Formats: sequence, structure tokens, C-alpha cells
Amino acid sequence: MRRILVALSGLMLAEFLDRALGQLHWQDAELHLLHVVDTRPLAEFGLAAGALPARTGRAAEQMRAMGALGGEAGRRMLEEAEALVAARRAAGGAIRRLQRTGVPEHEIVAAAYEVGADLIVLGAAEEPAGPAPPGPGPRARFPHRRLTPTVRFVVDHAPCDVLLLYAGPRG
Amino acid sequence: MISPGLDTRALLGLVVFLAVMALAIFRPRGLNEAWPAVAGACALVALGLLRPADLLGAARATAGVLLFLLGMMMLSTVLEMAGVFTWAASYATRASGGRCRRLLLNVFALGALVTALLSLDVTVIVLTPIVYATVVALRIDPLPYLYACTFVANTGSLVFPMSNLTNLLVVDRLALGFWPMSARMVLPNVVAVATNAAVFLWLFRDRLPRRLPDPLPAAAGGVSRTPFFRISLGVFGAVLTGLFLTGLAGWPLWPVALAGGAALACAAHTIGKRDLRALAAGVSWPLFPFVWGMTAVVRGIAHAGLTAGLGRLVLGHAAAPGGAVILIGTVAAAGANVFNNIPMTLLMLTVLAAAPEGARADLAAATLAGVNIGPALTTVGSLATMLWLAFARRQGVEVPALEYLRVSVVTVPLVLAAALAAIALRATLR
Repeated sequence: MRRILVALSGLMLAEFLDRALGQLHWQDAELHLLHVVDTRPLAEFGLAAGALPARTGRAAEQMRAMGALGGEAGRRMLEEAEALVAARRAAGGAIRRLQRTGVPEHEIVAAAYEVGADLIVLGAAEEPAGPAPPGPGPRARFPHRRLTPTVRFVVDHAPCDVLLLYAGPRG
Repeated sequence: MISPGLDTRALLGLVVFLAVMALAIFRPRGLNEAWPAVAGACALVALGLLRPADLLGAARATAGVLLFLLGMMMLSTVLEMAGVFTWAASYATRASGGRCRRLLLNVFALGALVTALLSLDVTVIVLTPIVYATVVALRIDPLPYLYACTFVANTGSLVFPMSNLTNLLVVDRLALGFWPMSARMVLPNVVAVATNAAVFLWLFRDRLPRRLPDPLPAAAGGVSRTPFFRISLGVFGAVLTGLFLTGLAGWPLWPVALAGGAALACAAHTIGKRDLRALAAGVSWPLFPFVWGMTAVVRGIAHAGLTAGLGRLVLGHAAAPGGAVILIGTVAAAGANVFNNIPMTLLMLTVLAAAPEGARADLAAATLAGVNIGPALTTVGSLATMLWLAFARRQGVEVPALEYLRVSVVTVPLVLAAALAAIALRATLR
């Protein structure tokens, strides 16, 4: 059985899943839906708040609350995604939900190794592609997209194929 | 820095100071930093470097500042209870018109406003989690917005005495005056925040999608405006007006802040039906013994003649006014990273007291730029940061230190340079 790791970022969730399923014709594949709680914002908050004199207690309390909030938002997103996928896929392989904490790009690659993924699906950039960069040269001939550092890292380090979906209408 | 004629007592004084700093930074077994500060003051009395009258003197010198702080902490706790910050964050989201870059700028503006009018503590401890909740509800990458909050708390804290405890200590001790000092700091503050925002727009350009999801989720919508909310906002407005007028008249600020805090506490209890214990929990009590203890400790090492050496070293290299501003600001920023910004401010105060009368205000401004903006760099490699990373790791929050290097190493020097340039320009032109 083939395993597909679908990394959710939350932006345009329904459209993303719709497009992902539309391109996958592996009816028997096992789908692993992944959400990563990014710990960098939490740690940055912890550092800033922990450095304030006499605020350590409140800082730790707030950091725990923020972690719980991030985790809860991710769980809701995963449930929503599972419902969307289940409705779209009448038959076929299992759907599993995964939640990890850490730096998203690292965790996506680590999860791909862990589940033995044959394909990673992730969304990239918003639509439409921006204007072509100014100036002469080949770069100026085409509209320009910016890939997030997360996408770039996954593309560079993935242990399997990566399906990169650009949001918005294709043309 | 230390004169050759240093006697044993002075050396012991230095040991006490370093021990206090180490304990305050390392906080073994979660020890509150107020304890080492108070114990250090007692140790200096035992060594004969401080007289009991000095302890009283330190209390008298800091009383106004601490009472002001108490009032402002009560005020911000009630504003938080009334949902004022949540309302402001949702307003910032709606005002972004669905554009992510605009939202980042709005977070900067909101953070700068809260920092200027309340304090950097409020921005970090209260506003940052609210901004996090808002962007998580929007399902966008929270990283740029969170960094914006924590950084603007430092870079935007130059302007008013209430923006940062360091400002309050310097303005109060050197009797620089509310308005003259605020007027002096407006431009550096605006320059620092604008530089910070510009650097972040560039640094996070790939993490900011062009548009927010449409329509905005309900969580980003309005906040119910209860009578408690309206009264809290009204009293806050009145307190701000009172503070500015009192500052203009040159009167002490603490009675206004304390009265405002008390009025809002009553409103929270009667109209908002809030528990007074929850209100008391919003006040960071250990800060009072910490500031008093540190003031006494710094007095002690000043008596031992240790700070005079630092003063000569710093002021001796400061020939031109512009150069002095840059040097003082850099020393203060470096010190605020090695120690903590409060002890560094108290140390720098002894240096500033020895500065020539005419240059004192400019050098105070440079010190404040250093101790206020500098600590944003601590996310790189200071002891406190290492400890926090270890703490975070125990909480299950694993963070590679290099991730921070990319943001703060680029941002802090640029913002500090911009603020110091604004101060130096004024010092040179005068």
C-alpha cells in the first residue's frame, strides 16, 4: 500500500484538499494528514517574556496556554480535513491524522521518514503569481512566485516525491 | 576599570554584585530574582559597604517609581479583563483589509501604542498571546506576527516614562522631566519602530501571503462592548490625559497612576464582577523588592568605587557628543545583554551622574536606546537565553538556536543604529 503524507497549513484548506485529491489516482493509498504546531512562536514568546524581571510565572502559564491553543486549532483543522477527504473519497485506503510539534519543515520531513511516505503533498504560495520582477533578463519574462522557507526546505530534504500545489486557478 | 588601589572590601562588594547577577539570571530551582537582590543588599550592609540608612535611601529613591508601576499594573490588568486588548487586536485585523503585510504593520502599530502608553511588559505578556490567538484563528503563519510583537515591545519602548521601567528610573533619578525627555525620545522611538517594521517586512517576505482567507473567521470579528469595557476604556483615557497634564506641570506621576488603577480595580469588582484576587495576581509583586534591592546593591558598589572606574572608562572615550551617544548606547546595549536591563540601567545611572550637565540628557537618551532595544538581541546567545531554551525544551518546545540568529542579529543592530543616529543627530545639531 502506498502512503501519502498531506501537510496542512490551514490556508484555503478545502480548495487545497480538493486539488490534492483531484490529482491523485491512487485509490488504495493510505492518506496521512499532518498538522505541525510551530514551536518557534511559542519559544520566541517564552524568551521575550522570560527575560522580563519577575514575570517568569506568568510567562510559563501563558506559554502553556498558547501551546494548548495552537494544538487545539490544529486538531480542529485535522478533523475538518478528515471530514472533507472522507466525503470526497467514497472508497479507498485509510485516513490517518498526525499532529507534531516543532519546526514545520523539519517535522514534515521527519514524518515522511516515519510513515514511510511515497509522496508528500503540500501547498505553496498564494495566488495569483506576482508580477514579473523588473529589469531585463529571463527572470523578467515570467510572473513570480515566492516559496515559503517551509516549502523550500521540504523540497530540498524530502525522502520521496513531492507534489507542490499552487493555490488558485491554473492557467 | 578597577583601580590598582582596590581594597578587599571593594573586591568583596564586586563578588556580591556578580553573585546577585548570576543568581538573578540563573534562578536556581525557580528562585525569584527578588531574593538575590534583597540578600545582596543585606550582604553589602554586613560588609560595611552600605549603611542601613542607604537601604532607606534606596527605598525613598524608588518609592515614586514603584507606586507608579503598581498603578499602571493594576490598570493594565483591568484593561485585559475588560477585553480591551482583544478588541484592539480584532480591530487591527479588520483594518488590515485582508492583506497580510498590512496586518503585520498593524500589529507593529498596535504593539508600539500599547508599549508607549502602558509598558513593554503588557505588550509581551498580554498582547502577544492575544495576537497569537488571532492569527492562529486566521490560520496563517503566526511567526512574523509574534516576532513583531516581541520586538516592538523593545524597539517601541523609548518614548514615555511608563513605556519601560528603565525610562522611569532614568527620568526620575536624573530629574530629566516627563515632557522634555519624551520630546527628545519621540523621533528615536519612531525611527526605531519604523526600521524594525521595514526589516521584518523584508526578512519575512516569503512568509507573508498576499491575502488573508476570505471571509475572515468569526474569531477575528468584533468583541462585545459591555459597560465594564466602556468604563475601563474611559478611565484609561482619563488616566492618560491626567498623566500627560501632570507631566506638563512637572508634578509626580504616581498619584495619577495609582488613583486610576484603584478606580479601575473598583470598577472591575463592582461593575465587572471580577475577583480582586485575580486582579492582585496581575500585579508582579516581586518586582518591588527586586528594584529596591538592585538599587541598594548598585549604591553599595558605587560606594566601593567600582562604578567610578566604569564612568571614567566610558566618558573618557567620549570626546565628540555624537561619538559619546554611539559609545554609551552600545555599551548599554551590550551590558543589557550580558546582565539584565534593570541592573544595567542602574549601573549606567551612576555613570550618567558623573557626565557633564549639558550632555547628560543626550547620554541618558543613548543609554535608554541601548538598554531598551539591546535586550531583543538576547535571543541570540546570552546566558538567560540558553536557560530559557533549556526550559522550553523541558516543556516540549524544541527550538534550534540558529533560527533566532537569523532574526535578531539582522534586526537589533540596524534598529539600534537607527535610533542612536537619531539621537546623535540631535546632539550634534544642537
